[in-house]
Amino acid sequence: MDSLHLSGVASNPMSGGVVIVGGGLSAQRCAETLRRSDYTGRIRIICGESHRPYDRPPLSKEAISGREIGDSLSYRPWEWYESQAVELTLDTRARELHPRKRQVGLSNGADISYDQLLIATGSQPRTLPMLEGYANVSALRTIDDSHELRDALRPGARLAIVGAGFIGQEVAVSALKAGVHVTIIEAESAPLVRVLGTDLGDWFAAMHRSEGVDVRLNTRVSAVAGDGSVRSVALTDGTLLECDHVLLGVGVRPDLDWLKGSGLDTDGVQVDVDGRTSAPGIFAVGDAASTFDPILERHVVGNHWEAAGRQGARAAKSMLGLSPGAPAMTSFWTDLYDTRIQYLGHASLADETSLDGDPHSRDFTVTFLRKGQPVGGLLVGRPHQLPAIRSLLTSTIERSAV
Amino acid sequence: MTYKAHIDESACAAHGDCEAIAPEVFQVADTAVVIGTGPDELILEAARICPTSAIRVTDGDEQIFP
Repeated sequence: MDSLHLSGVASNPMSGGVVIVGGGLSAQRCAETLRRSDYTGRIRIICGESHRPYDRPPLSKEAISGREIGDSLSYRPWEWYESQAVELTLDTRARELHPRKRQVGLSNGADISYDQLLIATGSQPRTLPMLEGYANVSALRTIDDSHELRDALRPGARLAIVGAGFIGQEVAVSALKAGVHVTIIEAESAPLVRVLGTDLGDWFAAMHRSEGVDVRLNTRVSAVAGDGSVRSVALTDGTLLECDHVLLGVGVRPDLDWLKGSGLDTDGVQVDVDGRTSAPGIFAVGDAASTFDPILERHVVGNHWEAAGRQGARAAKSMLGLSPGAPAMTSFWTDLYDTRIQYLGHASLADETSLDGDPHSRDFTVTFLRKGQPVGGLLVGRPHQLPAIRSLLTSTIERSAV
Repeated sequence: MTYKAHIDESACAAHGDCEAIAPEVFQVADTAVVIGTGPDELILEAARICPTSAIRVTDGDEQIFP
């Protein structure tokens, strides 16, 4: 294996090499996999934040529950970027893409050329118009967001969390640990009900309630009171909720406004299973991509940490003409109240579920079945059972593919 | 120091938790790889903490985890 037509271009400063727009997990993985695959061309990462690439999952956990985490979230030390000849441009965003010229216009005024481009700009938290412009309303996406939230989580403070997704639930756990009074406001009948169904949604709600979280379901914010800062929110069920801080956890949208006029989709760049767009030399990964899922047989927008990492590595191999291998099964994990929760497969395909274990003691497996065949699994407090579930699902998929 | 770690590469998502716990045993690249040996308890802790449960631990013929 050689590094193909791209090897040796590092010595040519006129060569565009690989330009990675976005400085998150998939950007980092792409750069690492390129170098490990002996790619010697130029690699540039354009980071929108003032930090080098760092790990986001701790932002809703350790980073806000008190302990100072400092620089420990960074994937690699500065020296790594130097030794690997990976050029970082911080505090800079892409503002436009010219696919025909193979150029990206940057917020610092520069137009840079690429041979191959990775779109890895991730996503931005959605906002609620009613809650915009208040000083004590925040979302959680960046390290700076987590600092703002950490400062708000003083013992005795009252936190209203809008949205019972993973971010909302993880912040609830961390805030309780910090001695904060927590209320979750969720428009659906249960947390995660669209992903995992009613029974599991109810289980998540019950778990939070048993820990002391006030969980309000089937309700939304209908009015906001406060001058500069939110003092209270009124809910559609008639409740008036006083609060010191509001966290929005109502999902994300791809951060792709910079693609307007480029011909690529701004609501998730459609890519094949290896991250290729329809435009020559352009790849997209992570939350910015709408990636074809061969099991669901459709494109899927926005994903999870594990998908972003794997997609970054796959795109790197695709760029080099190497085989990325079979894509991994969809999976994600979270830790809530020190209980490991792991998910694998495609619950949305299921027509029934089967339960093994005891939900009350947070020690159970739910297997999602379609026509009697397992298509997904959720494990609570049972990390040792994940390998068995994984091989069960893999064999089902292989059988159905024949 | 008799435990042996094995990585399921198709399951590993390169989180890096194992390397953080036992850097003398695990090194994470595209996936984690086993690069050496270390204290049994650290190998077992890494297997338990792995978010994708991709580490199998054996002691001779005996399977310790999962």
